[in-house]
Amino acid sequence: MLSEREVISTLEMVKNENLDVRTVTLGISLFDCASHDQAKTREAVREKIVRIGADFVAKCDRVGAKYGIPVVNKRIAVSPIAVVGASFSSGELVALAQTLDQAAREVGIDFIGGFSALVEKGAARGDAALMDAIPEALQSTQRVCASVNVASSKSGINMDAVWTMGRVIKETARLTADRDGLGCAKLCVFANIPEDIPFMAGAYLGTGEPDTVINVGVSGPGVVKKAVDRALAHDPGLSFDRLSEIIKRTAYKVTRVGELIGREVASELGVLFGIVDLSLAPTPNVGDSVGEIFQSLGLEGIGVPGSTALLALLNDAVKKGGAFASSHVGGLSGAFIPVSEDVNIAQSVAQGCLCLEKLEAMTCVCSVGLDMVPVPGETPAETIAAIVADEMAIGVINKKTTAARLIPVPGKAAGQEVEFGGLLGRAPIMSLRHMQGSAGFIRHGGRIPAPLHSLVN
Amino acid sequence: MSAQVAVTVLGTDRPGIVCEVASLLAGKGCNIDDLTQTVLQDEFAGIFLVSLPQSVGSKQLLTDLSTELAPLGLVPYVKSVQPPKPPGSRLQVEPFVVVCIGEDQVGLIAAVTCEMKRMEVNITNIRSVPGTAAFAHRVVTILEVDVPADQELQEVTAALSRIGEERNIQVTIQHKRIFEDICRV
Repeated sequence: MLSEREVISTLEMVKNENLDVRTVTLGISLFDCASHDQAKTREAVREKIVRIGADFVAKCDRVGAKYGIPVVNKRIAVSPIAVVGASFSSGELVALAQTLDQAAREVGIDFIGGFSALVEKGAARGDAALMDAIPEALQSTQRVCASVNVASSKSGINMDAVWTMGRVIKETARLTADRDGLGCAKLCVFANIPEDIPFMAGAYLGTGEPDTVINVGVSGPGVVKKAVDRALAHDPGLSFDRLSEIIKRTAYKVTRVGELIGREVASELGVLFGIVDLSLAPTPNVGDSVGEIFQSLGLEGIGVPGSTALLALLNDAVKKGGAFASSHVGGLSGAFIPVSEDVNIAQSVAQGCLCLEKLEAMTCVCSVGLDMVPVPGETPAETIAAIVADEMAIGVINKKTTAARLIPVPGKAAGQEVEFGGLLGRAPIMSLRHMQGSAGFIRHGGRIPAPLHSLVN
Repeated sequence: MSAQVAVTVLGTDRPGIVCEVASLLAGKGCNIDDLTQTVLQDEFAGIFLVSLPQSVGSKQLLTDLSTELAPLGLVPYVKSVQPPKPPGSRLQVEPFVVVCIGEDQVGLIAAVTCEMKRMEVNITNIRSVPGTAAFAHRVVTILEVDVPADQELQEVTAALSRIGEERNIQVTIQHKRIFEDICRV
């Protein structure tokens, strides 16, 4: 028999605090579709995605209705296309991206990830072709997401790839200039990319993954904020020990929801269940923001002094609670701080609380990195690459995942606003200091060696 | 031991009721196999599943209990119990929780439960509680129900939503596991 408190508290979390399963991502390996023949590969890719993904959306909806927990996004992640299409030219890889787009449309999902390459130690022919193909692939498709891992703690930072990606980001922005550089919102540059991320734009299915698998990303900023607000209303003098405990317990509850829904969807589809990604994923809606948690805990806005410490506390508590709730935790797991996708973070930029340098500092302790950051359209490719390199260094030295999703908005300057619509949100364009100061550095190329980890300080 | 009976006892709640009933049953050689009690506001109701000794019949037990419990302000009722069905013969069901939130109104429980009867949804537990901070000035009615496995959930949801719209209340139905998984380690 359930207690009244159990029923009512669960109902409150779902109805009033925006508890949902943010994404259920179906991973599909495409390695068995690879062929030297471009047309055969494309047909095999389309057939496999449509066959396995045909009932995916309906089953997610059915499971969501059964538990009264909406599954907001249903997505597909595929094997890195640079490997699947290793023998293809960049033009042929653009065509393969269009096939992915078509298959995604056929199964009714909004994003398909995996137009990806792993080049932390160097680029093979397919990797180079894929990086070349990214701008046109993202310009000519709606649903395809791309990612490139350019660094790892064991290999260092591939600065040739970083420089390439600086140019790729600029070119992608140029080709999608009519949509404020929207193509860049579907492109992530990573250090230490995990193989099982369910969140876009970084989702791809790693080489060590099963043929088909369900990975789940939970949400929960709204639930955490309300839990903190309730506790502080009861006792405004709560210490960080108690606040951490409250966040931990809340993360536990949120994660249990993700695991339950994910396992049932996997069972219905007859595929393996992979992981729950514990990331607190905000949306541009009021009440569903990571930034609002900062305000609840006493900061004027995210970015003011204290923000890095607070984010560290939040990230750690979320991981502790979530790790207890689920047998298999993976992906990114922490708190996302995307600028445009979080209404409160975007406001902090507008109010001058948050600058790029502070955002970068916070990425040392957040789950990903510089996410959905609009920068002036005139930013040189070298500067874009240098920002990426900085972010990669944080990941490599700290043995954590970091990513950069930068959007140089064509024709717009710092302080102007850009709107991408839907979940991608809106934000003021962040200003960059010394925009011309990195060219000499970036053009050295080569690889920044992997760091020594035995002399930690 | 032979037949099993259900002994129901009603009365105004106070300390000692279970002790008094259990002592009387023990004195007659009756074994209590299972029991439950509930208190609504000040009214006590207890059900005791009891195995009777060969020497005691159910009619005799009722007569004796009525006489003995009357001075204590308690009213007994005795009913024969059918042996439980073997597990394999039971209807396949899925447990759900229905929550109705809204202003108190005449006929609300009847409307919801009659719809459930029509769909052969069995209520296993029901209670109403005053609203919480989030649902202030409203009554929250919680029903734990078993939905036949072959019953389309969509139909149950639609029927409950219709009642919700007609009566201006919020009605939700969710699988029981979500409550258990969120709230229990």
